[in-house]
Amino acid sequence: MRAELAPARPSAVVIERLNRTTAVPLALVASLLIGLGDFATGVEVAFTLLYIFPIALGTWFRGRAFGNTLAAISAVLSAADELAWRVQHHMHLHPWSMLWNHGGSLGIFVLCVEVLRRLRAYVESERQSRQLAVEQLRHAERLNVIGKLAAGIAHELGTPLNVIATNAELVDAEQAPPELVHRCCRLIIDQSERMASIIRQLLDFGRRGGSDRQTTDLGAVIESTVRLLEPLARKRHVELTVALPKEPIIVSVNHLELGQVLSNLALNAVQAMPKGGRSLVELRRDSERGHPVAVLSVSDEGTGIRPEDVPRVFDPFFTTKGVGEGTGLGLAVAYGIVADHGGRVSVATEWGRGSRFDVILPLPYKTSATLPTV
Amino acid sequence: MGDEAFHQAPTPEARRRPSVLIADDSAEQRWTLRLALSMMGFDVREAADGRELFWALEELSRVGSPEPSLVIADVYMPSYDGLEVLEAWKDTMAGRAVIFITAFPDSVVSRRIESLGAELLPKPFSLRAFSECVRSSLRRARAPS
Repeated sequence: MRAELAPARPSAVVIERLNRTTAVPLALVASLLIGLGDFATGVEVAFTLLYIFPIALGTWFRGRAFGNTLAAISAVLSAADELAWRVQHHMHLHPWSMLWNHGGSLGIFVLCVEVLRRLRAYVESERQSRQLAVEQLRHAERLNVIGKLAAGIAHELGTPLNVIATNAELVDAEQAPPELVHRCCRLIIDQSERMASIIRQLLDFGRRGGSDRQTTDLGAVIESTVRLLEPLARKRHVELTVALPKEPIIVSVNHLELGQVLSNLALNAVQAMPKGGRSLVELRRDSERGHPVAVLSVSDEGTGIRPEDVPRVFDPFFTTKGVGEGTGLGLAVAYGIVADHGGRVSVATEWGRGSRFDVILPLPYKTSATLPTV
Repeated sequence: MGDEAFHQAPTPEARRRPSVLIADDSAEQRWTLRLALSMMGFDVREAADGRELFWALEELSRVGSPEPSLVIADVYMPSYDGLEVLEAWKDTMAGRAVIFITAFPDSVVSRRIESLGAELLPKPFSLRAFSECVRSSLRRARAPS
């Protein structure tokens, strides 16, 4: 199964089909209206429609007063046009008939301005309420994240704090047997260290700024990070393999942050294989909807992720690791860093077979293969 | 923390003492509670997650012994959470005291705990609050309602 974190966009195909199905009926209805208009008013409606077009545009973009001015000018112009035509062809002037014709036109123009104005107001209010809804949704989402974060912090820090407090009290009240006092103190120290490490990770989680970006060779970042992780992987009987493209991929990133992303993903891969196995770290060029991207994949042959857990893997404090092994911040931090760089992380996993995490980073259109000497 | 001392009772000389079952996924937390409870004169059994708690209660329902008279369970644990398990063995728990410990008691959890007739002890707690809670819930469980 596959979980994409980019929002799904309505397909262009659907819109095109909609256009094709609506265009013909619309044209038919318009022709019918013009014919009926001609018949009913005796005015050449098709000709009148030529005036309506700029009036409609003017109303839509500049408002009612502007539209009405255009309507009046158009009515005068069409009257002047008929007058000129009649004089040129030495025809009789029928003032009442002309008044009827062009008064009718003016009426249609003003009606058009009114319809357009109302339509515009309706669209505007729809847009505003939609924006409001989106804003409220975002706010709710933020609160949700804060709530989750608070619950996670409470849970992660609550237990060690409780152990510390109880042991300290036991020692203080001289209730602990003398031979266990040392162990109580050791526990207090260990748990304090655990709390300190959680707090450090939380600070890392909050401190991302993407301030320090440099033109970096992604391959070099990968190699140096993997070198750091190799001892741990060997200890766990995991073989870490790196596959880099022939041509280096050079992007402007914060290389420390990107190293952290890779080490979080690779660490997960190693921990997902308790019996050892192989993990592949691969970098390649690709394109996504016509944009060039760099894809950094970390795959493992581990336990995979349960389908019901997949939507939550990037949530802060979500973890399936045992107590003390993970805080559930690694993937959340990785996701945040990649998002700061304009990219995204996707996960493909099969329960019992392994997982693959893809970090997709946008590339500039012209990538020069040369790295400026620093 | 896979140390031997964490898994054995700090005070071994135990005879006919009231016993307590502790279910918590943190070994350090279990060890600390075990120490505190044995100081209070209880025998202690442990379950490291929801699954172990489930089987401990299953055994209890078969054997039908009155001990342990108290179960202390963490709400959030791997495999099954403490609430789920204790709700499943509600009948077995009749006449026994139950204390739930959790770091973030939200309203849903509190309501479920209340409907089980159990006590809720939010983390972090003091030793005094803990022993107070143990005593009061045992007293409540013994007194016929």
